[in-house]
Amino acid sequence: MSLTVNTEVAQNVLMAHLDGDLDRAADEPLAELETQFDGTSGVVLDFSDTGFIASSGLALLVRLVRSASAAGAAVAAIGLDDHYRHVFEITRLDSVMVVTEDKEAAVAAVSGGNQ
Amino acid sequence: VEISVPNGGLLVIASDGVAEAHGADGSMYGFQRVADVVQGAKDPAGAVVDDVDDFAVGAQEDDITIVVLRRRISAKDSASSFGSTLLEFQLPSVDGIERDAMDRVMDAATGAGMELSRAKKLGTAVAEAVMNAAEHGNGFDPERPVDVVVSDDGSVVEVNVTDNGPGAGENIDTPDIDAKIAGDQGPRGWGRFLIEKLVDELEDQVVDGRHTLTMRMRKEDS
Repeated sequence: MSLTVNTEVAQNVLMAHLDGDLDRAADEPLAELETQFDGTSGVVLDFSDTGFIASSGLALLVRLVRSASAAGAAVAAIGLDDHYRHVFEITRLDSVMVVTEDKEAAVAAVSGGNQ
Repeated sequence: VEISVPNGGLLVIASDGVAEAHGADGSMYGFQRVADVVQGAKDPAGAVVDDVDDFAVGAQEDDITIVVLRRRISAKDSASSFGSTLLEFQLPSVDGIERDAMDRVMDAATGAGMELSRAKKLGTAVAEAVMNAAEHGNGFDPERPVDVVVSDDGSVVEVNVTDNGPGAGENIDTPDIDAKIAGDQGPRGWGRFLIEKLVDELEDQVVDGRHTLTMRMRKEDS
């Protein structure tokens, strides 16, 4: 299922709800999301409705973290299930973004920006 | 009528206008000559039509229709024999097949009693293996399929993913997140790494130019 990204901004933090699969076809929706990073202090990616994350999707997340870093924004992830938390651990993606279950904790973690 | 065709074998169906075509000496073309001509021919049907044309004299006597089916060498036969086959399927080498492969293998593995968390790991590994086979093995040529065979020996599920291409396979550095974030490494190249980390056992083999990746996963944590 192709990826739909819904966003909202609260307290200078961009909330992005990722609905669908994170594979090669997610390139454009995520590139569009990256254009919204300027002027935000942080980005929270909500994976609770993400069905499948392929290695091509991990590559897109690397690009996204680089874009956020260039814009001075920190990145957090919420809503990952146990399987993809494990995938984030073995790839060490969890070292370049804050992985948490708690939305408030995620917002708090990135509201100070990428310092 | 039931006919068994061996792996790699041909089934040739020809109208009687082929076998009954008459040569210059009055003899008929015959089925044996059809069988001889298709052997080793790159285009077996075309070879028979051309050969009948050369053989026959005078106007064409009857319609000439020929159908040739070749049984592909199954991935199961080129891979190790392991337990009993749960599932066997083929996918075209196009983008997006990995999700389908993952879902089918996960269903088969959980149906065979694998713990869900382990089936998810196996499914993700299979998705990556199928994508590597389609992209690096088969060069995203939709005519070159990816073969997937899932077998069960009771305690372990084995999945064989075979490409049919001349591709060199994926050959990349071990991915490093810090190097990727710094831009010293490209963002991609996670596939093989993920497979290695997710399954219990991994083996590569090349038979007759076809690359098979064999992944094994215990049904339960031991």
